[in-house]
Amino acid sequence: MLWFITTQRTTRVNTFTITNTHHDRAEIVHLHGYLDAHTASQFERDLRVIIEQGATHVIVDFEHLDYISSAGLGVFMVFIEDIRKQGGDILLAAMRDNVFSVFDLLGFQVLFRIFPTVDEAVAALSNNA
Amino acid sequence: MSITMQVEHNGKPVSGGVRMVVWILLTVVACIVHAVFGVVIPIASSEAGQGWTPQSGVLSAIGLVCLFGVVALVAIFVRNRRVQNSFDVVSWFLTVYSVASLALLLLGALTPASIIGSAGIISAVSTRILALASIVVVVGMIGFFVAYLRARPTRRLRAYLITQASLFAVIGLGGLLTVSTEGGVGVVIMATITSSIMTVANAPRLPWLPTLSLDKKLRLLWLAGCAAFASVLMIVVFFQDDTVLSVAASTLIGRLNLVIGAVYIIGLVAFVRLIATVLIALPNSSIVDRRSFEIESLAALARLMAESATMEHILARTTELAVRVTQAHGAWAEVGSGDELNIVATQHVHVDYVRSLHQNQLIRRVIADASSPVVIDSLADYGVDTRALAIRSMVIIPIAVDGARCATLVAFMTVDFGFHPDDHRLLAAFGDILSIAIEQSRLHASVLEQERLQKEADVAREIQTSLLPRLHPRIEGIDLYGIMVPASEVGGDYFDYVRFADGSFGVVIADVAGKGIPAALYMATLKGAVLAEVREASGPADLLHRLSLTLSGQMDKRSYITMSCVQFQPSTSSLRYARAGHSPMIIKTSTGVDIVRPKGVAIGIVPPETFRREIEEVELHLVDGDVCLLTTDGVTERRNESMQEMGIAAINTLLLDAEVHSAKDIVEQVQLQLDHHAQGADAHDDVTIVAIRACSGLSLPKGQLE
Repeated sequence: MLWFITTQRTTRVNTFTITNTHHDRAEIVHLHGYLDAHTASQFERDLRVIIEQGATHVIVDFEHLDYISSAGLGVFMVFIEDIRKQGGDILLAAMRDNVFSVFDLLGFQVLFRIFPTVDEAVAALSNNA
Repeated sequence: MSITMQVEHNGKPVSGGVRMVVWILLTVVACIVHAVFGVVIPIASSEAGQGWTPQSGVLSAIGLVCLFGVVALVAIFVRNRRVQNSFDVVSWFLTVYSVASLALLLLGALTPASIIGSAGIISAVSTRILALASIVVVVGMIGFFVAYLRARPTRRLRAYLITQASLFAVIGLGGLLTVSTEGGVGVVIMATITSSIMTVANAPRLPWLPTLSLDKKLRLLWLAGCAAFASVLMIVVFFQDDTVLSVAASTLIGRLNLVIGAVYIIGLVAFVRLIATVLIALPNSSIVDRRSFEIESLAALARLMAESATMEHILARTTELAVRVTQAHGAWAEVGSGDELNIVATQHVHVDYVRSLHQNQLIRRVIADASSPVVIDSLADYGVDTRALAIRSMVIIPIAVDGARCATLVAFMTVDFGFHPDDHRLLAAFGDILSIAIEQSRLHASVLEQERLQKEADVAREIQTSLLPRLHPRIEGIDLYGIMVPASEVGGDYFDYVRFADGSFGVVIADVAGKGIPAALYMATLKGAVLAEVREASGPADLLHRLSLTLSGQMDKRSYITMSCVQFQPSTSSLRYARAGHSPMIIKTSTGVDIVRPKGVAIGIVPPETFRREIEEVELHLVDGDVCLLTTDGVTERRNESMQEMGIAAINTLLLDAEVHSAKDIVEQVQLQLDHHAQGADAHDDVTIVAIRACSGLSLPKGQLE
């Protein structure tokens, strides 16, 4: 019922959508649009559903992601610890330069493996296995 | 009675005291006449005439005194009390009258006929009690009528009352005449008929009658019926000479007892007229009830609006009212559709039943397709198989706010053509009021939310500004200046001047991920940690590592802090710099502009040991005029209306071209550049700029940049 009373205060110019495809070794999550403070909670919810459905290896495809904010980055940190404890991992792939520079500046490369393409990320998983 | 009336009305210029004296004199004279002669008034009463004794004369005199007393009391009541012309008063009178009359009749019926008229004190007393009771009822009735008429005085009222009083006098005289001539009966009948016609003609209007609810009208009808019935019995009793009551009355007032009978006839006429009036008003009762309830329910809805209640509450109340007003067999209010269907309120129907109705494709479509209030007189017309359903006719009221449907009110009947066209109109009005009420409740919620957010933003900004340094330190050989411009929503920027363990000065600049109060509280934690750790820290990298250790496990998983730290070392004329995921330092020397970006991970994303392994520290040697610029990402990511970020290149160019004389100059020029780029667009993040300029007094060898 809450949807009813709360009003949309901000006119949302930027949209964010998430789709996922299943690969035999991993769940590939494709991000589209703007991942900022407004859309981060939606992303977190969706990613949680995917992980709770049993995905241990998740490859995040950044190819169509235009922008990421600090709140968007925070979402990856929510799941990485638990998924690694279960023997899985989150791999990041196909980032555009502007998105990559944000990850790079923060030093996320220490925490996550970042691949130029989704295929390379998939290949890396296969090699591990 | 005629005497009473005349005294009343002729007594207008006479004062109260004089009137009382006249009254008492009249009583005394009547009593003496009655007691002594006993025959003057009961001239026709053979029983009284024959059985007259001194005792009975005295008893009659006492009875007469009582009678005069009662008349006086009633007269005072009529004069002083305002009787309202209302349902309550009329029904009260009818009740009292019926009960009193019927009780009197019962008393008369129970009294053995042998007692009346026989000799002996018991007989004499009981006879007079019965007579007095009969007269009291009649006098009371007349008194009420007069008071009732006087409540709404008309110009003809006095004439009417005088005429009626005269007619009673005529009836009384006629009664006396019946003893000697047959013509007396005719006079009594004529006068009674005339009086009855006048009563009917002058009966006051009952303006409140049509607006009564059905049950009140029925109650009035029932009471008037009782009164009429009692009157009929009384008439029968008093126009017979051998009934207990009429014999008893005649012992006291002789043939004047015909007046009592006449009064009952007139009363009967009045009651019959009342019954007729009520009967005429009866058919519109349902309409009256409906209208009054419609008004009531619309008023209730308006009150509901004023309460700015929640959406569910408003819908629940409206559903309840809809059923009561339209007499529908059931109703419900729903929100959403499909899987998100939410039955908010039901009346006379279970939620599960409504859900099962929604399983029916046709009904679901009928409800969903209604863009304006719709009446469905027969669901069968829509192809719905009604054999399996209890519902036959429906009214569907879609409720839209801002053009978007937000709820639906449905009322139904288990018969075809169950709804009146009025029901449709009324429910449509309900729908209009509902949409306004819901819009209002939403507005209310959003205003509250905005106020809350504004308050939160104010608190966050207060925390943030209280954490920033108020003074700029004066350090030998270093010109230092920094500012922080908060965004409308606090972004978590922080900078501070610190003093390391060895006594050297330094600057920290940080950006806490997140916004609002959470970010401001992390900043406060960070400042506390910085102040505690810097006393022990040997240099920037060490400080950052210590902070990562202190804050590890203290922060939300989603949160992290980027931070840069600079330490000035006058002894070696250098500065040391380390970076934890923060925007890199820009440095301008005589040879150009460079970006210094040592390795380092943001605090809070990796364990402290990894953090320590990854962090680097660089040492820079500055010469006079060299400039170092530390910023947060609010500077480089500052956007204009077309969402373009300013980028680091613009700052590089600025630093290359600018003629600067102080650290403050640099900060101001960067700010100008930001404003120029943004062109009035709102800042989405805090902006922090710290400039460090090496100035004279420091002699540093050139070209020693790392």
